[in-house]
Amino acid sequence: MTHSGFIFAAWGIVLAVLVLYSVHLVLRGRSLTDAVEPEHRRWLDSGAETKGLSHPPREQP
Amino acid sequence: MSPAEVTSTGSRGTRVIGSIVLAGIVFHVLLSFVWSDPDADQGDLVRIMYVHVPSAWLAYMAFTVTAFGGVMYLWKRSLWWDLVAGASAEIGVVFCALALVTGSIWGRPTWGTYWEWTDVRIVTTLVLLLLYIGYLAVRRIPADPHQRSRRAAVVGIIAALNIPIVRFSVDWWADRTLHQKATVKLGGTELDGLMLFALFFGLILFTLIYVWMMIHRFRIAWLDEQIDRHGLDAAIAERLAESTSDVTRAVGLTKTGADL
Amino acid sequence: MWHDVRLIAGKDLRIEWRSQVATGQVAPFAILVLVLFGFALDADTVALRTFTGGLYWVTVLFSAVLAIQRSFALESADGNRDALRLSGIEPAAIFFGKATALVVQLVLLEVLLGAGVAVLYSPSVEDFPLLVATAGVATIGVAAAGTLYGVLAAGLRVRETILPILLLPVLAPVLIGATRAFDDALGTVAVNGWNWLALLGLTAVVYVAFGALAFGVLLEDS
Repeated sequence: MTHSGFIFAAWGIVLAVLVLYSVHLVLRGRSLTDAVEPEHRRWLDSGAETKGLSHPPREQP
Repeated sequence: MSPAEVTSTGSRGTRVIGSIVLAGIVFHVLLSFVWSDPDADQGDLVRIMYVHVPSAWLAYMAFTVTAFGGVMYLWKRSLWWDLVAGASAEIGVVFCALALVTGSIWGRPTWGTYWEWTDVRIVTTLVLLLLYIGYLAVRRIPADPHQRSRRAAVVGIIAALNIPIVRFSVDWWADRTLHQKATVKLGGTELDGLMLFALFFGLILFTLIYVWMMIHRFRIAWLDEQIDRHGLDAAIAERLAESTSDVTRAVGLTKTGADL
Repeated sequence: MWHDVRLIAGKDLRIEWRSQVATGQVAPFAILVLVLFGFALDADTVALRTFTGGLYWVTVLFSAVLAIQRSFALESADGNRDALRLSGIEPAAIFFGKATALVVQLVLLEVLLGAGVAVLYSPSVEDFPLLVATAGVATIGVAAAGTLYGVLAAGLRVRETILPILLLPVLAPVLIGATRAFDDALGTVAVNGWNWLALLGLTAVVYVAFGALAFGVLLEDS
């Protein structure tokens, strides 16, 4: 295959970046999930959508 | 899934999509390297196109979602749309950078340089990247959520409006009859059937990757919102608790209410 | 509404007249940039003459960023922005007023820069009307986009850094168009500058229209 260096470089960078970014997303997702109480971890669960609010309500302290 | 079971931004949906993507990547590698032939004009370099074109396509699609999300946010005032817009912009920047890098790598053996100013697409894509880096910078500015969402929506919409203008300007500007046109058409006069299929498969694969990333990135954005919101509430609650105990001590009361 | 536009524009220009920031700081900066280009291009007179169009407009854009930041720094003092919001003046009028004041300041700056370039780079002028028309239309586009992003950046601590990074990519078509038109007018490149002027006009219309619509949204938040 001609120009194999260029071709492998291009494919290599694409796969590496996609994998690294994906791993970053998963890890960040996990650490943020730990930081938030279970009821608020998902848009649907917090009831924001069903209550029809544009921004979910603030918690009462 | 009940709230207590959520331990990450993943879910059954993302795991299914993820598995399909992994299988798809294997298939795409086979398509691009083993089953398809070199191009009549570009030779083996066409194989870079099988990741370059999908990246560029996704970059533009992601930014369209961002602009659309901005419009929807301004119309419906729904945080959901703003978070979608923001998530899509970040993923779009990733694909845009990939498109530029792969395009540049392809360009080196083709044009002789890593950058060809008269190639309209690469120049426009670079301006697109800069516009969206600016958009992400605006999103990062600490502000009230409504403010931030509104600002970002306006910036996203202007950026999207600007793309056709940039494209047109650069196209015109780059059209120098003195120079040879830099863009090389794929497959010479017509695209070989398998090549076309490889391109489309790449497009679908990358779209699925985008969807997977969007689900995660949206959930991350949502969690960030929650932490901002409840982080503030927790801090307030702490301060209240502190001051209450200060008052209790000052007044000399113990838990039983007896005087000290 | 047009009365309000004159009011706002007049206020901005009067403040400038008294404080002399544009004349005392922005103009010298602009001349400085021209000089620095001279050094950067190693005093290659052929290069300077050939690229006069582009160098001129890059200088204008950098100077415009300063002028825009100044235009909104005025409004940071003493709760001016709140006063503007509460004044009952339509946001679009404030937009047009501030943009007009900017156009006036930028045009004067461009005249000065024109003289600077004539002396420092010695270009030859073939189509003076095209030069003037281009400067006018391009400036409108710059002022419109600049006023919109200016208000966005206005209340922010990061305003000095966020404004250029937002504004300059958006103004890339203006730079391209104005440079091409100037290249034609100065006889350095065989292009049709009047066509480019048409594109500049279209761009200006889009920026003005969008600016007028979106300014109110951003003013509320600033």
